[in-house]
Amino acid sequence: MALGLPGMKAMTVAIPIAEGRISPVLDTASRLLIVTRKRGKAACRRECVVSPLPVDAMARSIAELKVDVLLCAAVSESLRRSLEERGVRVRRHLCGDAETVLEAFLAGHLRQSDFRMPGCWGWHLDGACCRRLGTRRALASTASAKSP
Amino acid sequence: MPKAVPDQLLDSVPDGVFAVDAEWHITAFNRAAEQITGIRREDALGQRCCDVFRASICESACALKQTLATRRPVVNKVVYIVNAAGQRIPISISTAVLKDHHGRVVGGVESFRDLRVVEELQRQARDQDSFSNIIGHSTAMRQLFELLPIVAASDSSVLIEGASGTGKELVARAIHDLSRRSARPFLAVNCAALPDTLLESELFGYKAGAFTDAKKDKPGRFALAQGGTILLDEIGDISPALQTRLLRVLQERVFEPLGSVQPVKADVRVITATNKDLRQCVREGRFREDLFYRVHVVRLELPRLRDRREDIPLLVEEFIARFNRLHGRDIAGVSDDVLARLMEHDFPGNVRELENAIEHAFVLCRGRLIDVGHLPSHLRGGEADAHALPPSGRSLAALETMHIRDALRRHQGNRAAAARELGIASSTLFRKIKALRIKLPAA
Repeated sequence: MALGLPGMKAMTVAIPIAEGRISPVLDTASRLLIVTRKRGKAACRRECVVSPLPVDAMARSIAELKVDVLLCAAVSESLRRSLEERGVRVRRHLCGDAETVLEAFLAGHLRQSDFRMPGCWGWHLDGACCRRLGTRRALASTASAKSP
Repeated sequence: MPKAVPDQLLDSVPDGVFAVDAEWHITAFNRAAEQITGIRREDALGQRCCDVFRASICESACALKQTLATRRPVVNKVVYIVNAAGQRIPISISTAVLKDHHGRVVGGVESFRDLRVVEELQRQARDQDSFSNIIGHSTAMRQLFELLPIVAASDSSVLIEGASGTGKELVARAIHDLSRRSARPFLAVNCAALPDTLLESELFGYKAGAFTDAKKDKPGRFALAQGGTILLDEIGDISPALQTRLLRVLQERVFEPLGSVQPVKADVRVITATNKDLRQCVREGRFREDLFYRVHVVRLELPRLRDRREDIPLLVEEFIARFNRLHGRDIAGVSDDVLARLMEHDFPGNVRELENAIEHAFVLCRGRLIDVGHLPSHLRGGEADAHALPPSGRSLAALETMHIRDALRRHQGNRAAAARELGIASSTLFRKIKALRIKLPAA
């Protein structure tokens, strides 16, 4: 489903950024791009500096920014859990240009492999299939189709 | 990375290694890197390094960026990466610039080591009274236990110094067992036990016809230990000629069997041990200085048993359990008097002397408890051991004297250092030295 479609209520998306790309590790990110959309249009856009903080303090400070969804690359399990407990939905294992990823997210195209971090990152856990598992499943289905 | 360095070579390195080009795209990624990051080589190649490596320093303090900017390597910087399961994995990284054959910088190379194994072994070492068959819970031994996994993880030459009977071979074996070479042979050679010519053929082997009795080829210890570890015990006793040959092995990693002109590669980790002061041997011209620095890359000093008396009860327990198993006996332990004698003895022969004393007692003891009468004669009476006190006379003053004397000896007569170790003020120590009439050891 495309998130941020016209008619949806306000939603705030945060992306940790470094040199225009998604920061490799959320735990050590220093800047957050925060975009709020209302009825499918950008209503507010700002950048925040994130101080190096322990896991809980970092999760609290991000949640205080009223972030609904956080798009990031690698994130430690403890930070992810702490964010989720505070109502921040985390979409992890993403990489690439921050603006492109944001656009793809808002258009509902985030599951394209272009935005996935290299390697198997357990996308199946988030409801989508990772590249390697996808290949295995494709091979398995081909094999079963060939077998009499 | 230029293809002059094949993947097989990189895969043989136990540390993770990756290389990047000038645009930060990964050009090489070895097997250990796959294991540590959880990312396959084919998925990593061509990707931006930070998307693959996702280390805590990627964004703010990239070590490779620093190296490429300054042309200086970063060595053993400890950081963490986040794996697919969201675990923070501690690693130590080292970086270097990568140049083409014209000397132009074409990228960088980073090696990294998973520190979880080392940290786990260090944790185990802290929690245990024994480590890889070495027994002890004294501060000195715990420090050694913590050091062993780190030393084992490297491939550097190690010099183990310690008096006879302190367990040098045990430590060398522990280093081998903890290292990546553990599946390969560990061979120990006592250099003092063989005459020079025999030692040479023993170490390097010979070809048929090399001398009159050489009917067929015989591989030497270096050849037999290929891929593993060789311990050269009593290294201080080898002749100058053999020192020269050994230096070549350590420098060039090749040797020639006697009678051969064909050099043989020596993929062997060399551990040396001595009960001599090797530095003093160098000063006296009896040991080559260049060889000393080759074998002295990492130095471990094993404490004398008298400097870790608190380990004696633990060692006694261990030896009793071992001899019970070996001899099918059921001895429960030693009497308080025996333990007191053992605690007061100086043990010039160190752990080996203690082990022999317990074995001696096992032969004589017919009951379930080892008594003073079962000990070797030098431990039974006050004769021959000036340090020993009659058990009945173990007053507080006697114990204080013993502890203060030991601490002073350990610190070469430095009273301030001894007081620190004993946990008392220097002035208190001075007062006690005077009151107990303790003679200060020569500095």
